[in-house]
Parts: sequence; structure tokens; C-alpha cells
Amino acid sequence: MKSLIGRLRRTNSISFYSLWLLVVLYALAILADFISPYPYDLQNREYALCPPTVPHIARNGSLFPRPVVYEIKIVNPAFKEYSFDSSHKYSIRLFAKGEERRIFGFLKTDRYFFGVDWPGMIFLFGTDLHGRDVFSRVLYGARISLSIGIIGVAISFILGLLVGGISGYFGGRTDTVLMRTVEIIMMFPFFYLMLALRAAFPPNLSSIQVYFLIVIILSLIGWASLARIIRGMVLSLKEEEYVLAARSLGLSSFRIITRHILPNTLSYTVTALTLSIPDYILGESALSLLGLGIQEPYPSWGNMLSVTVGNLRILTMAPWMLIPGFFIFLTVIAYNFLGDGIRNVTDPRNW
Amino acid sequence: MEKTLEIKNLAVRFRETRILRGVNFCVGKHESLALVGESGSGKTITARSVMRLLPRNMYFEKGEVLINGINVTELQEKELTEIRGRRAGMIFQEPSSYLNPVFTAGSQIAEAIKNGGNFPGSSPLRGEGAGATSKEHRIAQKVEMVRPLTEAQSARMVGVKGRIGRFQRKERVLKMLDGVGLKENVYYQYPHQLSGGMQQRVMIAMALINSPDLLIADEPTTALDVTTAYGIIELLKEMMARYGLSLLFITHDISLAVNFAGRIAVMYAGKVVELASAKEIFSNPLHPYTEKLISCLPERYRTGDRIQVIEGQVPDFKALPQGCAFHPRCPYKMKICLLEDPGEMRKGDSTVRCFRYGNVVETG
Amino acid sequence: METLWKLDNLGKRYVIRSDTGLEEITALEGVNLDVFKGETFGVIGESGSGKTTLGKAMIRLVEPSSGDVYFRGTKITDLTGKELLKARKNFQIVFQDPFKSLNPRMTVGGAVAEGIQAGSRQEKRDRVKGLFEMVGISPERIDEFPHQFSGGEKQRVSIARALSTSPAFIVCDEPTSNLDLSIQAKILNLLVELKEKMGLTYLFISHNLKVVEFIADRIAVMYAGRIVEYGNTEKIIRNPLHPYTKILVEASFFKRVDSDRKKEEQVRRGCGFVSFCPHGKEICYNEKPALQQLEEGHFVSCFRYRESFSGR
Repeated sequence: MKSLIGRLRRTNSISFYSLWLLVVLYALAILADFISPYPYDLQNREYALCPPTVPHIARNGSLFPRPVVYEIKIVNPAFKEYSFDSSHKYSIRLFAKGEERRIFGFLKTDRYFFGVDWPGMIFLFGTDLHGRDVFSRVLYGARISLSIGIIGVAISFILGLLVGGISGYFGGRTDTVLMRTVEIIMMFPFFYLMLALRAAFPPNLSSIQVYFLIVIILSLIGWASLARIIRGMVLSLKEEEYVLAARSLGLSSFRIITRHILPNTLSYTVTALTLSIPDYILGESALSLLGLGIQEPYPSWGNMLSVTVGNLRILTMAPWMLIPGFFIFLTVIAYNFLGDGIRNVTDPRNW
Repeated sequence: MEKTLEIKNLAVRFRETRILRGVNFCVGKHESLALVGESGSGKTITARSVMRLLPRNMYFEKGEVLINGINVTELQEKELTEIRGRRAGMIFQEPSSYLNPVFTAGSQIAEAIKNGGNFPGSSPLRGEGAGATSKEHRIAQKVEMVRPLTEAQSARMVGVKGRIGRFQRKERVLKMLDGVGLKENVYYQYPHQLSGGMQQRVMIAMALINSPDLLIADEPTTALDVTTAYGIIELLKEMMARYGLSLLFITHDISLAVNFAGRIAVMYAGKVVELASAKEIFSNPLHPYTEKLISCLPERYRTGDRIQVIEGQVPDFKALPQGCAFHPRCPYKMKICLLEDPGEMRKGDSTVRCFRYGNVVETG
Repeated sequence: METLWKLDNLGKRYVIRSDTGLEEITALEGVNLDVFKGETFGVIGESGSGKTTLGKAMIRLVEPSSGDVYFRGTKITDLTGKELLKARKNFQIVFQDPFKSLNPRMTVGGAVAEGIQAGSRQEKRDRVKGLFEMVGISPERIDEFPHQFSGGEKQRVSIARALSTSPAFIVCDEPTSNLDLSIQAKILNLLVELKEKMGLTYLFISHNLKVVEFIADRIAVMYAGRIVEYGNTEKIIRNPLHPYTKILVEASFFKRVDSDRKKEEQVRRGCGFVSFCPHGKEICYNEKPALQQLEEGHFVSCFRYRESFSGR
């Protein structure tokens, strides 16, 4: 594994950096409790739709001892206009004190990675309609969006590889039955199937249950097309000479499939894997967009974007509401490049 | 009498590595020369160099390739297209790879017909009513392939554009198909409907349709069955006789070369190490590599014997040994072989690069 | 001499979809032959003759459509499941294309070790190293990958893999056709040496008569899925009887021969060679000739010799 990463760095720098970007994103998601200055559901109604409080390092040519944010002055609460008063500054402190919170659900602390003294507010990405800090919500939302991608994809792929491998290798009736099942699944329009499955369950499930439900729905739909493609690859790999040699050595079918055939589908599999993860993230976003996914107040990048749907006014007044979309974009791109790099690196000809 | 093909001191490199390191040989009129070598000898590159069909990253370093006296290495791309197909034709190893699967055989051969095949000094196949456009003719003049037209010849120029008409093309193609031993209906067939041998004949038809003086055959029979290959060889011999072709035949099979070519050039590590008549080479091989290559042929042994092999492996071009490239594997090596690269030396009618026959050292 | 293999009317048919609908292709038909212990039995034929199918069907890498195969008296064609897997250890195969016969993702040592069942990891490694030495590859290289080896070296690895189960018999499916002359010579030498050292029996398939003449004691000439002639190598090459064998011998050793064959439509009944045969008579179009013994150990399937067949 280490050598793989090292090789990645040498050959494909962009995918190497993508890997690190993803690591950072996932770290942020995991440490959201600690890094975000505010809880995801803390509403500051007086500061609703406040623009991002940009940290300033200097003014009039003189450096501040610490980066500061200016005080937010409410100009017009009805129209949500704000201005920043440079005369009142709040220093950004590391490991600032704040309200007590639990990290990972059990570690109690009142220190955060950064923050400002009360009554200053630091909204790095501005606030939303309810005055909640977008930055904090993005971090918490990352948990949902990023993990759904990975878990959903993992399930799909195990299913797809297994079914595709068995179907392709054994052929005959097994193949026919499996493939017809796959085709039936593929027949359904993905989106509507998702909606239907979600609607089949009561609407007021707890967020955790909804989360698992979404993961299961996404993976059950996703494995089908992969199974088909893997089956096709297996069909041709089955006739490769080294497979025939393995058969003549008297190896069992299981061993042949797992040691000889499936590893040689890796180049396609890995690429498809990394390209699917974004699909799942977007799938979850779409669900949330429609209100069928993660419910308020728990954030996911999808449902944070849902507010802006069809609402041009919000967009013009508060463009920072699109920042979750930017994070989705970043994740998708990073996975893309990472996939390219991994595919290159796992080709034994480059070893 | 000028030679059809002359290669002088040809050096070709791949990126920074020298692949061909000074290749010399010539093919006279109506002669057949077989270029024999194993993989890694440079024989295919040599063949491609003649028509300047080198892949990317391969460059001419120095030397000359003269087709009918014209130096091909100095020509521009436009002038080269006049040479290719017209002065020299080429056929390749896997005919199915070189035939477009979506066009019929007939249309592909017809496509190969170049306008204006009617140059003075051409053989009888070129004939009936084919003309040249004035532009093509000017280019041809520039490369000194043709003297200015006489009145009579100008008069024979066809049409405003001077192109060969569709029906004339078809006629020529059908005639050519017959010449290579294929039935007329092949004209309408697609490559996948033809057998390997038939595909190769189609390629030969394409290569010879403009009556070139030189045919380069790059391992044309390697991918074919034995009996089909035999048919192709017979066909090539017939074509040579009928059209007065000179033939450069590339192969890795020295026993095939001996049965078929007039002279044989053996290549090793980017140089011609021996050049002799086919008879001489088998009965009296001069270069140690030739000798050992011949001793690798299984037909020279009885069942149960051990074939005499050459120790070692063909060297990588990036890491050639100092001195004579063959010396690490040579049973006759002398002190000088480790230091100097042998130049060309004559022994009788043959040329050989080996210090056993002289002291000429390679220059440059 | 012990009979190692007995092939009884072996046949293989494929059903494929062609331009004209479903078509049945006969790759092998009516193959009867014996292979004796310790010999190299050569199978010579051109593309489409069925020679590769014969090698694969014999060891059931391809399932025969008809006929039976006996190995040391056991009916191989009847074995199933674990029995078959166990029996497979006795007969191995070396393929033609050195580039495709090794899994590119496996180390060469791993590939060769797969056939070795018993032993600790270290014991297996030692055994693999031993096999490498036997085939002439440095044992230090067992953890390298196939792409780091040359064509000839890869073939040696394939041979080592075939030897890993200590088989009695190896099918050599054109093992040298993709190799240069000098490498071919080395591999042929290696095969001969291994045979003598380990008491192996070979089925050597090739399209190159010169190679087969060198290495095989007896040969079978195949055409269109059938054996047209078989017997002692020298006898057949010196005195080929079947018209096709004649063409083959003449084309391989460069003597006068008839011109290139065209791809004619397959004649359904009758002798498979009749479309190209200069001696075709009416009976040849209607009936398939059977293999009959003409002289000691020399079998031919051709109606020309109908009268001369010695009584069996």
C-alpha cells in the first residue's frame, strides 16, 4: 500500500494531490465536532443570511497580532443587510472557548479548533436562512455525503463482482437467471426507483434510519450494471491462456475466479469504483433535495443545496449558500483524478 | 546501370539510441535480396526506412536511401508520396491489419492507383489512356523521375483534370486481380470474407498496381500457413519475372530466404554482418552469427539430437557491447573484437563484418 | 510399449452464429489414435485443421462432443468434479503465446507454485526454485512479473509451471511458433532434455513440419478436423501417401507443388479434402474415407489406396 501511494506520487502528481485532498475532506468530516466553531443546529436568527466574515490580517498597512473578524452590524434586518465594522474587531483564537459540546458523542470539551470571543461571530462561509453557520454545517454535512459514497459503493461492488463473476464463469442457467434479474433491476428508472423505495418506508424515520435506508437503496440499484460489465469481462478472460493453464493444473473454480479472473478486471473495476462514488454522493443529494433524504436540521450537502432550488432570490442575495455545491464538485473531481492514478498504478506493466 | 535500391551507411535512431548503425546494401534491377534477422536486428526498421515510413520518435541520423538514383532521405513529404506506390510498393506481415474492413477489396486496390502512371520507361502494364495532371507532372520532373514529355505523350493526357476515370480504374484492378491469381468476384468482397492468402494477394495487387520498380515485402508469409505461404512466394517470383521487379524481402526465416532469394543480407544489432549469394551463404557462411543461425535450424538434425544453439541473447540497443556487437556470443572471438567494431570486408563476392577476414575498422 | 492415451472417435462441434443463421462447425471428427509412453507424438496441420482443438479436447480443457478418451485405461471423459481435478495433475499443457499464457498480475513464482499442493510456504518456494533451475531460469527471479521476461524466458516459465504437478504427459501447443529461431532451438533442446530426464510423453502440435520432423517420433497429419495420415515420422515424410500430406511436405521443404488453395465452401459429406484434391473421384464426394493401415504403423485415410490396404 505504501509503495502504491509512493508510486502515485511519482507518476501522477495530480492524483496524488487528489488523494490528499480527499484525506483532508474526510478528516474534516470526522473531526467536525472539533473543528466547527458552532453546532450545526445553532440558530442565530438575528444573523440570518449573513455574508461570510472574512478574516483580516492587516489594515492600513499594519499587521494585526492575530487574524480578526470585524463586528457584524445589522443594517436592515428585514432585508438582511449587513455591514462590517472595522472598528470593532474580534481576534480569532485557536482552541477558543465556547459552549460545551461532545466530540464523537462522548468526549466532553468546551474548546474548539478556532473561534472568537463572545459576542463576536465568525461565519467563515456566512449563514443560512435560519442563521446557522454554513461552515459548520458543511463540515457536518460532509459526514453524510462522503460516507454514503464509500459505503454504498463498497456494497454495490461486492455484489456486482460476485454476481458478475459467477455468472460469467459458470454460464448456462445460472448465467441466464442472474442476468435476467440484473436486467429487471436495470430496467427501472434509477431515480424513480429510489423515490419509490424511499416512499415505501414511513416518512418520519429517524435520521440514522434514513441514512442506512439511503445507503441500501443506492447500493441495491448500483450493483446491477456493474455485474453486467464484469460478466462480460469474465467471459472473455475465461478463455485467456493462463486461465486454461490454471484449469489444467486442477485448481478449483473458486480459486480461478478469485485469483485469476477477478484481479484482471481490476483496471476497469477501480476506475468504475472511483467514478461511482460521486454518483452516490449526487444521488444522496438528489434525494435530500427532494426532501426524501436526510431531514432538517441535520445537514447534508444535498439538503443544504435544496434551499436554493428554484429560489433565485436567495442566490442573488446570498451566493455563499452554494458553497456545499462547490464541495461536492471538489470531491467528485478528486475522486476522478484519484481513479485515473490508481488505475495507472495498479497495472502490473508499470511495476 | 543504376541500382533499383541502394542503402548507404544508413543510421536511424530511436530517441537517443541508435538502432540502425550503418546499413549498406543494394538491390539491382530484377534482383531479389532477402534481409534476414531475428527480432531486435533492425530489419523491419530498415524496410520502413526505404519508404520513410518510420514511426514517431525514430529519426534519420545519416546515410542515404536511393531509389533508382533518387535520394529519398532528402525529399519533402509531398515528393515522397510520388515515390510511395509508384516507384516502390510495400506489403506487410498481417494482411488483415492492413486492409480496411469496411471497404471492398476492389475499391481498396483502385484507391491505390495513382494518377498519371504513364511515365516514359515504364513497363507494359502501365498503359491505356492513363494520364498525369500537369501539377503532378511538374513534381515528378522536379524529382527527376521523368524527362519532359514529348508531343505524343502530352497528347495522351486525359481530360481536364487528367484523372484516371472510374471505369479505367476498375479495368486495371480486374486485370491486376487476375494477375495475382484471384477470381473476379474478389473485387466485390470484403477483407473478412477472404482467406489470409487471398488477403495477401490483394495487398500485392495494391502494391504492384502502379508498376513500381521495387517491391518491399516485410515478412509477408510469416502469418500464413505453410501451403498458402508457398503460393505467395510463387506469386512473388512470377511477379518479378513478369514486371521486372526488384524485390527486397524481409524475413526471420533464413531457410525460406535461401530457397527463394538471389542474395541474402544477414542483420545483427543494426548492421548488415554478411551479404552473399544464397548459395554461398548456406554452403560457406562467413560470419559467425550466420554460421550459428544456420546451425539453429531443426531440419539439420535428426530426432534425438541436440540443436547447436547460440549462447547468450540478442543485445539491447541501449547497451551494446564495445567493439563487435556479436563478440560476447562468438566462439571465434579475438582480442581485437572486444575493442574495435569491424568494418566491411570483402571475401570473394561476399561482404562480411568480421576480423577473421581482414582488419578494416568501422569508421564514424 | 505402454499405451498412455487412447482416443476413440473423438469429436468436437461448435455452434456459431454466422451470416446465414446458426451454423455447426466441426472442429474435430472421428479422431482415433494411441499415444505410447515415452514418445513424442507430433500433430501437424494448418490453421483450421483442428490440431489445437485435439490437444485441448484430449485433456478436457474443451469438452468433447463425441467419443471417449482413455488415459492409462481410465475413461477421462467420464470423470467429474474432484476426480477430474485430481486426474488433471497427470497431464499438463504449454501454450503457444508466451505473452498470454501467464497471468500478468501474478509473480512467475506464484504462477508456478499454484500446482504444488503440499508443503509449507518455504518448501513450495524451494520446489519452485528447483523447477526454475531445471528449465534454465535463475531461481532468484521467482518474485518477478511476467512482463520482465523475454518471450523465450516466459516459455520456460510456462514449462516450469507444467512440470509443477509432476505430470506424465504434456501437450505442447505450438510452443515455439512465436519465438525467434535461436530461441526456438533452445526451447526445443530443453523439451527434449526434460523428456529424457523425467520420462515424459509429449503431444507436440505444430504447423511447422521441419520442427515436427525433428522432435516427433510419430506424427498425425490433420486436415479439416480429421486425421488424414499418421505413422512413423520418417516414413511419412519420405513417402507421403495422402494428397494433402504430399502438398504439405512439398511446401515445407520447397519442392514443386500445386498453387494456392482458395477458400471453398465446405463440402458437407465426403472427404474434407476433396475440393482441393487433384485426384478427387465420385466416391470422394460422397463418403468419408476411414483411416486404414497401409504398411506397418502407417495409416492413411484416402480412397486412392482402397485396393492396397493390407488386411487388418
